Amino acid sequence: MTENAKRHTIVIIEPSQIIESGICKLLENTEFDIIRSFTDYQSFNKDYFKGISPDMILINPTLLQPHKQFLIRSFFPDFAETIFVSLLYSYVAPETIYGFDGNITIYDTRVALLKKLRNLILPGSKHFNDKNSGNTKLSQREKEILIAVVKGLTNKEIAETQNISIHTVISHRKNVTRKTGIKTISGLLMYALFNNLISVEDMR
Amino acid sequence: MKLADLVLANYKLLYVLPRFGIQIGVGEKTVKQVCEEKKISVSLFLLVCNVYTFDNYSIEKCVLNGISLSALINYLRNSHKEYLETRVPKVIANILDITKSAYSAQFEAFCQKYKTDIDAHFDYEEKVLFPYISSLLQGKKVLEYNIKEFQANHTNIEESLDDLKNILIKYLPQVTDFEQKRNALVELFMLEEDLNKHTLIEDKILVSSVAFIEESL
Repeated sequence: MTENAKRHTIVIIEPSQIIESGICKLLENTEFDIIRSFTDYQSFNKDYFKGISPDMILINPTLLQPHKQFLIRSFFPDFAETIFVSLLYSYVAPETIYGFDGNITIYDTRVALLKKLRNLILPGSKHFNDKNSGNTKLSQREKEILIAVVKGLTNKEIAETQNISIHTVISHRKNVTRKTGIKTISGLLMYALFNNLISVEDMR
Repeated sequence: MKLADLVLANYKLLYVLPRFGIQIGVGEKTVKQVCEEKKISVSLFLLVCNVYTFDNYSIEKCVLNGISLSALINYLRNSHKEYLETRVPKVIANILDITKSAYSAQFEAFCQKYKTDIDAHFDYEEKVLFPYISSLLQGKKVLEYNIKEFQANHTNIEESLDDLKNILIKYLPQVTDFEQKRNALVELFMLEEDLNKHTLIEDKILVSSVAFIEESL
């Protein structure tokens, strides 16, 4: 199967049925399949089967609590691999859509819409680059240890909760520092926040 | 050499001069003239200028023998005062300014911790190390402490700044005003570079000179 023939799954979270149907119509007969639509975040959270990540989530950012919008990925902790696209009706403050991988507006033509979505899904796009630059991407275990470190756990405590030796914890910590370039615990805390590994609420 | 030529050769010396009590605007006066007027050791002044100007400046033993340790300590104290009273607060204020839109409380905590760390770092030097050296200079041998202990505990205060640079460059949202961000970063880089040189002066010049005295006592 060639790359072009590959199909991509999309979930839409958008309160307006007119808009939602419009997008579905524009994406008919393309490589994009809209697998589910939801009218709000709460119903998505309640009903979406988290075992399967869609390739993309199109979401109207006004559906999220305003003060946390730039943490888009913290709303979707189980969808690390998914591309997030904001769906805009009008101009919004840039910080509102910070953290999204891309955005579309209701004034986009079908051609523009497809172009944007295809660019996002391209293996060379920014999102996929991040995923593929193997050397600097943290492994799941490293992420867990990083989170434990910034929460203030000692190496010994981490070793116990993760069921690994202290030596292994230290080696993971060295790798985290090598990959992120960040050495201090307060620096790692900021890294974890900006990469949505923890939220401000977690730290309380 | 004229004082003005020094500054023209390396503008970063603008930070060094006031720590010696030297001002610019002295016309064609030479370094020697200015130092004599201010009663500063020319060799110490030039040594510091050289460390600040050349990355791999090697410090000759004979130069070390010629410098006054009490003058060096005076210079280091003035540097500490400048860092704590002017440059660190300025850098922190800049950072708090550009991080208003993202995790401002966490950045504030980060900066607060850095301020506390650097305070403690300088405080230790001023309250433990410098008095120890002064007593050595008076010919008293203090048994409980020696310069090796200082070397072992000389903590790294640049790491946090390096982390901060990393985070601001990589993750601070692009919506932040670029000019503000750039100015904050440039000041941060300058402070870090200055602190690196400061540490080098302490680790190389101060420690070697003190070790020399310890041996001869």
